[in-house]
Amino acid sequence: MDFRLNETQEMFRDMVRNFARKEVAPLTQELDKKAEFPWKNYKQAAELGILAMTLPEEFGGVEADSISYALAIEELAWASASVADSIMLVEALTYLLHTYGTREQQQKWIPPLVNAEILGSFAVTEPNAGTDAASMQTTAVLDGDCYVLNGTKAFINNAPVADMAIVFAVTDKEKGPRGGITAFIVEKGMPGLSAGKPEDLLGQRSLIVGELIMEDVRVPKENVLGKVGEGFKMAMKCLDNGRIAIAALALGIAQAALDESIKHSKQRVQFGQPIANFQATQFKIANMATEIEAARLLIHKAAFLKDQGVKFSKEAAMAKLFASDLAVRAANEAVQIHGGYGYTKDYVVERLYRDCKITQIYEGTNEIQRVVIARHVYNESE
Amino acid sequence: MKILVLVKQTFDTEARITLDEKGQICDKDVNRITNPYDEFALEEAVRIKEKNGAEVVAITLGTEEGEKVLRNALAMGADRAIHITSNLDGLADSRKIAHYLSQVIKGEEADFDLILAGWVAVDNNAALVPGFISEFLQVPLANVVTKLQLQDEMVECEREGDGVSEIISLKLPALVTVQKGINEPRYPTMKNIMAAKKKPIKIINIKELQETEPYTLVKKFYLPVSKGAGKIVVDEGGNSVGELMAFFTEKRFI
Repeated sequence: MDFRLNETQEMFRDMVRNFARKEVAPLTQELDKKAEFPWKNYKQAAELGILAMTLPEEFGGVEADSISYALAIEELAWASASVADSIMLVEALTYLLHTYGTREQQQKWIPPLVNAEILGSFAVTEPNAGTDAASMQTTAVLDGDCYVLNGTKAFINNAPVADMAIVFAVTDKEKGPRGGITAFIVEKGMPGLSAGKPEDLLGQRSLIVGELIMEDVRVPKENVLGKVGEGFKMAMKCLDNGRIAIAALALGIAQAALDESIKHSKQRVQFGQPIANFQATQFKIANMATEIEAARLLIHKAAFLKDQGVKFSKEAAMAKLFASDLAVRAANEAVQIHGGYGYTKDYVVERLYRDCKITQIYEGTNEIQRVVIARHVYNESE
Repeated sequence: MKILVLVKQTFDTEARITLDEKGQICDKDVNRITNPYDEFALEEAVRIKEKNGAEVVAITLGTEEGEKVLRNALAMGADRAIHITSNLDGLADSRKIAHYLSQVIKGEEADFDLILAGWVAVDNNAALVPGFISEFLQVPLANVVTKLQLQDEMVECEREGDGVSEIISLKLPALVTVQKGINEPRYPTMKNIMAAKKKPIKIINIKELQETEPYTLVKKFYLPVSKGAGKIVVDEGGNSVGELMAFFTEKRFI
């Protein structure tokens, strides 16, 4: 057993940390206020190879392991959850393209995505199909050489500006999630494809999130991603991987909340001394620091298992559940430690308090994570 | 063209310095980084390499953990590295360190055209090693340079003096130390971090090198005394001037 990072993991982390702290963090507050996409940082991250890091060399990557990837996401989220989220989306899309795509699909879409030349979307969720993804209503009906897609996807990251989207639609209602859902590559400019206006978000406001609407969109057969009917399995696989990343993102927010709290509590003087001297503050700091350590261990364990090629679903769900609940607790305590200052937009913790909430909701709500964990635990007991 | 870059592993600038019971600086559990000024030197070397073509060799003298700075140098674009390994015991003398570095350079690296280094290391602030090396190697030296240009057999260096700047020209081979502002060091890309793993690091144990006597000895380390709270004089009905004057007189400020 060895808890140390290897030299490469450490170098990746240090590079991303330096980048995040020197280039990303200084822009985050302003971009959050203006609800603007972090283009500059996004392109810089592409140049550094962060968008492609898990891919093989031919697609500009270095086949970084899952621990390195989790470290990178944590460091990015420390500076900006929006930047981390945008980068995770590229990872999800390129993972699907690389794992299930044809040679042509890979060559057409992976390079522009990882070079930040285009933006993509991952479209599963619908207005009436959130956690219950299997109740999806978007349909795809074969008509000659094309599938005709109809339906609306909701809360889709990048939808209002995306150049391409991987859309999941029902191809066989009878079969439902077991063989009846298929993934399609839908391209900007296809007649009948439109986007809703960007949502006015509580947190992670630099993301551009909205509806993706399809009205008789004719998608050529070549744009089917993977096999017909395998879409649900692909989406679930993607979410499994994504849970480790979301956990790492939440951890980055929690770590930022702790760091800001330490800094502030050493400077803020009340009753003639820094509030860091008071046990009321120290206990909060101690709890945050302990839980952050625990979350990091859970995340690295799940990532380690994934790299070993063994089952990691339970651990990924635990990491996601624990880290996102922690992010919300830590951001809450951080605002408390900052007092009235923390309730203003002049302080980073105000943004962290808003940015963290979604981590309990997306990539599988924490309620569904508990269902997943309980199922594993009961199965193991039999 | 061959460019040597002197890199040093220093404590993270945010690290808190403490002394152990023997009065030595505690170096356990301290995060170490590449001396930020040396990163300017590395960046400058890599830019010259990208523009004109050159071999860039990073050299450090330090503990085994010091390999981290060499990997960083290789990830930033150096082609190979030399690590003079030492536990650094009794190695506080800048001239002694310069002596070891010069010995190695005089050996297989004697055909260098340019040596670049940060003008100072952020830990001991001595700024002496490059000067000694230029003397040992008998090459011209320009210190605290903010702009650098190669011209045929010369290197033109811009320096900022107090109130006036100067441009000086040095004949190659030469040693130039660089100052903040000369460039923005790059972040190593993911690809270059991976590539750095395959680049060679030559290890030379300091015991293989010829010894020399130090010129200076550190008698003692001590931490700066933290300042106490200042005196606040509150004006209550016009008494403050007298009170202040009395305080200043007592402290012999006036």
